[in-house]
Amino acid sequence: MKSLVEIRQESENIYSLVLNPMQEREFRIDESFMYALLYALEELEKYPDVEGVLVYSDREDYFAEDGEFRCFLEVSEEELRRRLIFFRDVLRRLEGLDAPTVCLLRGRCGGMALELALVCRFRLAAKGEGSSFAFSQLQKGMLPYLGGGQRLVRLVGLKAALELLVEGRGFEAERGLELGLFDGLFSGPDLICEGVRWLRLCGKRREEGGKGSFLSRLLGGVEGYFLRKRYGSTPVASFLLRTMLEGIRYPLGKALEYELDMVLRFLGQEGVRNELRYAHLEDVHKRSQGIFFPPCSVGVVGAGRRGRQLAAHLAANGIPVRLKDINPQALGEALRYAHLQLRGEEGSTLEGGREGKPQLYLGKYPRLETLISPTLEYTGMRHCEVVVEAVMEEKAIKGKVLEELEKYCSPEAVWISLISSLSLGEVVGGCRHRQRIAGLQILYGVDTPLVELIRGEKTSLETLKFLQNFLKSLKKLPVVVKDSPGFLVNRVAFAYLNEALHLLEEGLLIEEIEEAMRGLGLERGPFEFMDHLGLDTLFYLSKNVATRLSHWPASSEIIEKVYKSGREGLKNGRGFYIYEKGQKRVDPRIYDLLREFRKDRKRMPSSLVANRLLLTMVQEAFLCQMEKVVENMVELELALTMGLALPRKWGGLFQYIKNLGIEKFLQTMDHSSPRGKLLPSKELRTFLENYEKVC
Amino acid sequence: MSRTKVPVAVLGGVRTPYVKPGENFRELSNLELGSLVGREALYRVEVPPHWVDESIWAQGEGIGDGGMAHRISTGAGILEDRPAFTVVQGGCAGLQAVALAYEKIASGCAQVVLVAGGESVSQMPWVCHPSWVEFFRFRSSISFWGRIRRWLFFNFSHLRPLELMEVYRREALRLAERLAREFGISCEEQDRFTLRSHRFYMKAREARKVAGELMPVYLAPRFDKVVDRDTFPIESVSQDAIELLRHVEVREGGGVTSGSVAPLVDGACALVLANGDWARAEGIVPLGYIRSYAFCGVSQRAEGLGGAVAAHLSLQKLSMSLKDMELFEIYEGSAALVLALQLAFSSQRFAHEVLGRSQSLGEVVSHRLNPNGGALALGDCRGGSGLQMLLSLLGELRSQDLEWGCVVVSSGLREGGGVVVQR
Repeated sequence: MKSLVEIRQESENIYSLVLNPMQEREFRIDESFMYALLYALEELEKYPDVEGVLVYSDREDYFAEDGEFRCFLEVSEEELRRRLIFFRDVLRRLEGLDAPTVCLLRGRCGGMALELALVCRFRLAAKGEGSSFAFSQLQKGMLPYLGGGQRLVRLVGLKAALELLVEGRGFEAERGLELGLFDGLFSGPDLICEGVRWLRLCGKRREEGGKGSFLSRLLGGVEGYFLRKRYGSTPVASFLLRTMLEGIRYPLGKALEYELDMVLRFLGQEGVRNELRYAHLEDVHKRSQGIFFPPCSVGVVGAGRRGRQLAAHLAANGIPVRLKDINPQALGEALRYAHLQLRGEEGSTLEGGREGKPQLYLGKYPRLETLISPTLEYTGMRHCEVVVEAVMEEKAIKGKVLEELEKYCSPEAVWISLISSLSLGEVVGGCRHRQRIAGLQILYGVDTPLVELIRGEKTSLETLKFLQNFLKSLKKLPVVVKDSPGFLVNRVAFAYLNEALHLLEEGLLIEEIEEAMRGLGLERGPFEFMDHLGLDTLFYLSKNVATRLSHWPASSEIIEKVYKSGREGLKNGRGFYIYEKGQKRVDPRIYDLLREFRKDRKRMPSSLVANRLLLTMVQEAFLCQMEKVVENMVELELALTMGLALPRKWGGLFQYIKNLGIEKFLQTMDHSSPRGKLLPSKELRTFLENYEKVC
Repeated sequence: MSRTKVPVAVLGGVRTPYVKPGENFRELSNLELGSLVGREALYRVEVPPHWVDESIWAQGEGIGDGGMAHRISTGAGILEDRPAFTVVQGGCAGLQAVALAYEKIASGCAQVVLVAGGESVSQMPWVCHPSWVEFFRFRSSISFWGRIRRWLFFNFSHLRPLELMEVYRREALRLAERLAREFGISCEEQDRFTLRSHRFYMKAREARKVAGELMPVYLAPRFDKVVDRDTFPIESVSQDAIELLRHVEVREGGGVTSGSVAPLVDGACALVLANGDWARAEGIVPLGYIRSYAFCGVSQRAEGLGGAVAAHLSLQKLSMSLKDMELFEIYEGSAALVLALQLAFSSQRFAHEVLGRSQSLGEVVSHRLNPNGGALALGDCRGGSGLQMLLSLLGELRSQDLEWGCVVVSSGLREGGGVVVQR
């Protein structure tokens, strides 16, 4: 078996370290790679007269995946320190090679690949479409731990380094060259030739070590103050900032030591560990299993709000869409929506600007929105591998459309029915190919990764697997749920939101309730959450779902009142909050509107408010778990954390309650609820006690 | 004639509306027109794009770069590794593309071929007189005095750039005049034929024959406007309406009016051709089969009559004659052109002088000619017109339940093409 790092002789006295010579799909920069690199370096050091070393990956489409951070979470601190020191020493050894090293980057380069490249003396990057670069560590909740932070700050300066690391956005090769991150660009397939040429031309030039670091040291204090204000908003970013500000004052060796200490301290925090574990799980669940070929075209029936969002999303992923509707105007609107989405220049196209001027498109490729081809008839559906029915949320219409589809689609196609409040079983009742139909609920918007895949009674496992892989290829996280009222997220969310409304009825202020929930670390409280969900959605949920669940208390009448007053939440900028110019404030008129429902002003300690809301959430989630709405516990926790926007550092809803102390949590409930429904059942208590962490 | 056992079928096709240049389609280039129409055609015949083996793009004039055909083919969703090429041959381009597709399928090189053609007349470039170019080009070979002379005697009327579209139109006018003079076709006859074309088109539209081959186009960037009508056909055609157009461009002798010359339009048309046996095995019912084709060039004397020769040649290949054809679709570059061709078919002299035959070819009876109107009403989108004629002929054969039809194109002044189809 070949090693993970191979030495090849490229020309006289020029060698290369080839990463991933077996061209595997999943090649990571982890411990085994480091060992392989160490052996290769030892070997290389034995060679006489090495004039230059090239470092490149054998695969064209990506350089190397990031190592999994998860392996750090399972080992003791001693072991962790040992590993990090080992990594550092191997890289120092590569850095300390006498011969100049050139790293040739092409394809997709993640954070750790770039960190590895920073160790080399020169970096050449490939131009063009195939290559993309991003320091992605912070996005995944991790600090750079191969010395990337320290090396980057010495190379490009503090400001640019922070920009690259904290924002974590992808940048192009040209931008990297501009910043000084890359020493040169190349194009074309023969990268070895380019590397050798570079070595011959510029290899003699030695990099001036640490120039500019004096200046940075001088300005570090002042600059740091401003940068902290701008970038130090999240804990991980402020950690990074501190590391870099401090590290820049030392020589590289000492700085790396300092960085190592900081990484260890960072990983020592419970919240961080939870977050990393969560990020890992999310990553795993988004990854499709095996090789999956995306469908060559998808039919979408219905160009309503969801239909057009979905069509645009599919087109953005390069999948041709056949969009059918009976109304040409709706089709036009769908195309316009896709156009704006895919272009991302709403202002210029809507408000005059370039519009109206004839333009020559001779040199360009067809625009992405041409992937959506509108039609008024059922043509072109026969060879769509996936057909999505996205018509109005009414049982009769959906059933009729599905019946029509049976005539025009091939029986091998997989059908998706977009539903949110109906039951899948009732919708597909009249269809012959029920095993090939699954439901799909898109939560919030099509950009949210979380989607619920509804498994009907007859839905076959094959269909489900195919759709899971399909959705994962669209960077979605599908959670398979049983066909039950409200499915998972909406059901739990509705219970929680309904409780918040009852609290409002009891005489609390919106601000108090919001504050109580935000105090727990939630990004937004229940009322802002409702605005995000859309009050219309909530209204339909209360009409269609709440009535089907027998154990539920009556849904609050506030929803209807607020919805009927023309508020739809974030969609039209008015809900419980008013959204103006990027600012939000509680609508002062909302109390007048709800006067008839509200009792006298009442005060409640905020911990009690929070606990009451949490308990409804937990209770409903527990019921879902009992009813096996979701088979997999991990998926349940992931879905809840994502769907309800819970803080990732909790490590899951149930885990949070457990950490809080079950007894203490349950005791606070004794006198709080006026209706007695909130008293936790014995099963919940035993469930929580026996609960083991999954996230 | 059956040189080959493989039947070449036209599975179906679609065209965009034909729109006046500079109006709704002014921002759609050949690339976009081609991709739109190609994609829609594949959807309509229920052939997934990855089945297509090759695609051909036909355009009348050679504008656009060499890679256009491939970009159109990928734009239509066809796989990137499939070959594509462009045919540029004036009005014959469409038929030539069909003929090439025929050969590819008949020889077994390809199973399914997408043939698309059209022209973005709005985006045809403007040209300037060479002397203008010279004016700004300081070549060292020109002496100082030479340069001064050039500047002094510069003809400023050359500064006016010339629309290429205008050049083609002028050529068509010139040809129409020549034919009208030669065959003695009067102004009234031409107008009557133009009127007929408009009326027949309207009749076809009322019978919903047009809607079947037309795709609505949504206009970027607002997409609130749907173009689903051809611009040029006049809804309530009377003799007066045509006479209104008459005052323009009447020249001596010919009696050609701007109404009786086909207007150039923006638009595109696409057909899907495939191996007929394969198509039937896949459960697709073809629109019809292509049986033979021929192209020819003619001498200066027979300018504009290439179509008649080509039709004769293509029929000869099948050992058939003109009277076996049940429908004709003759390219209506101008009213005079069609009438002249009609006369040439039945003319002894033409048969004798051009074809070296003793007998005339036969009669093209008026009720078998262009049953759905033609370019005079619709407009001429250069590359796409041949395809559109084929499409409408096949549709008409089906609706009238006839078997044989012939498409005749004579264009580029001295070329002609003919395709014989069987349903």
